[in-house]
Amino acid sequence: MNADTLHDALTLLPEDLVAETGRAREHRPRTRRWVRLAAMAACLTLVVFLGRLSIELFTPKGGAAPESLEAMTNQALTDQENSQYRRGDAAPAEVPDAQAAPEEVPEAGAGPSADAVTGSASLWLNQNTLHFFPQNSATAEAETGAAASDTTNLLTTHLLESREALDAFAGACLTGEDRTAFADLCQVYGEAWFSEHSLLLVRLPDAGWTPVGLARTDGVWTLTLEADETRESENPQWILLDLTAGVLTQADQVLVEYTP
Amino acid sequence: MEDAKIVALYWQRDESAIRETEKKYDRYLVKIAHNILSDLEDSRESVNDTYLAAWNSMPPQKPDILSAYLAKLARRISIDRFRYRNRNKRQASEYALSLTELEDCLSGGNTTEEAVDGILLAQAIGDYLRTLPPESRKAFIGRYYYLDPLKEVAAYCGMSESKAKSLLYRLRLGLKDHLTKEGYL
Repeated sequence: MNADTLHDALTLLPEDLVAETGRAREHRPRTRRWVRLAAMAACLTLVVFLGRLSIELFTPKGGAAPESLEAMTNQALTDQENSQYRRGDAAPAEVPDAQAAPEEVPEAGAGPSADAVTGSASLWLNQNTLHFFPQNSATAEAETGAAASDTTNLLTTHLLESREALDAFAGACLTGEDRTAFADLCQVYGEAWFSEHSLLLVRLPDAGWTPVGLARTDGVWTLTLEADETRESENPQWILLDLTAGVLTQADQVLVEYTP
Repeated sequence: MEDAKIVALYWQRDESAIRETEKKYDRYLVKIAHNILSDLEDSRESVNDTYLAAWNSMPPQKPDILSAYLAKLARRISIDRFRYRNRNKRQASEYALSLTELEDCLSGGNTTEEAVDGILLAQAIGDYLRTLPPESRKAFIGRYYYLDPLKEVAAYCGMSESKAKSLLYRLRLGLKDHLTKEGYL
């Protein structure tokens, strides 16, 4: 007897045995469709997540397209709810972070006034605060000492990268109705929002400025402000800049240009 | 169409019987033939020969289970074609692999038992298979009758490939013991 003989015998197996296995072959367990779809969806989600992660990891800091930043900035600033802060009606009485001006910047002085701000000024980031120091103000050097203690005339900027930081800022810098109004204004900025964005709060010593451009060249951000017709030199102005997360970091330098 | 109606068509010598058979069982039969021949063109020819054999055998045959009857025809025709085609050379196919594996349950050389009537041997194998649990029986028949790849056998028996492999090994040894006791080896 050899295997061929055995195969010939197998061919003659009773049909009920053959049919039993035949039914099993027809009704073999298949992977449920929803399991396959779920697996595909999970894979797709993972690919999208990894793609987004790699884009964020390998995109140079501050390398986002200036056009999009400008558009976002303008969008934030045209929001009617922001108006009272942009106009400076409810500006905080003091900004504690401004007192931590960097020692390596000796020109610390008064903020721009309605008549004096015609040139450019540099902003240096120290922790989460940007300090304004007019470079071309003839009076700045003489008033350095006075200005250092008078924070109301300093232009400050807070880079907020999380909802917690926003709440902490409101708690530390705002009081009473101002804080309530600010909280209402910032309700739209949830945790999910901060996962993709940063909020840059710019406090100008006087009101009446409209940002018209934000661009990055050779590692330096340039924020261009244009004077409104209704400028008010007495009140400070708050500007909310809506930025893509990570485009502006603690290490960046920002140049502000005023155009009367 | 139900199998009984198709068989009735054969008995009425209605040629639509072949069309209905092809419609219902073509894929099933091509799979059986392809497992043996590993060639689609040869498999198609074997299946066509199967339809012809069914036409010529019904009547007088009147199978209770048409699928098993057709499988038997397709298997026999495909094996014959395989032997004819590979008379001078052996090609790799599931059939050739199964020949090697089935050597486990055979004696070493040729004996007078080679002349044993195939029907009696088939009956003995059937008796052995009936003693097995259903899953083991399906695995054995799936592997050595339908000649399905081990992976597919494991899938429709609901076990891993390694488990199916070891199960089949034990079944082959068990069959050898059974055939020895029955006096075939």
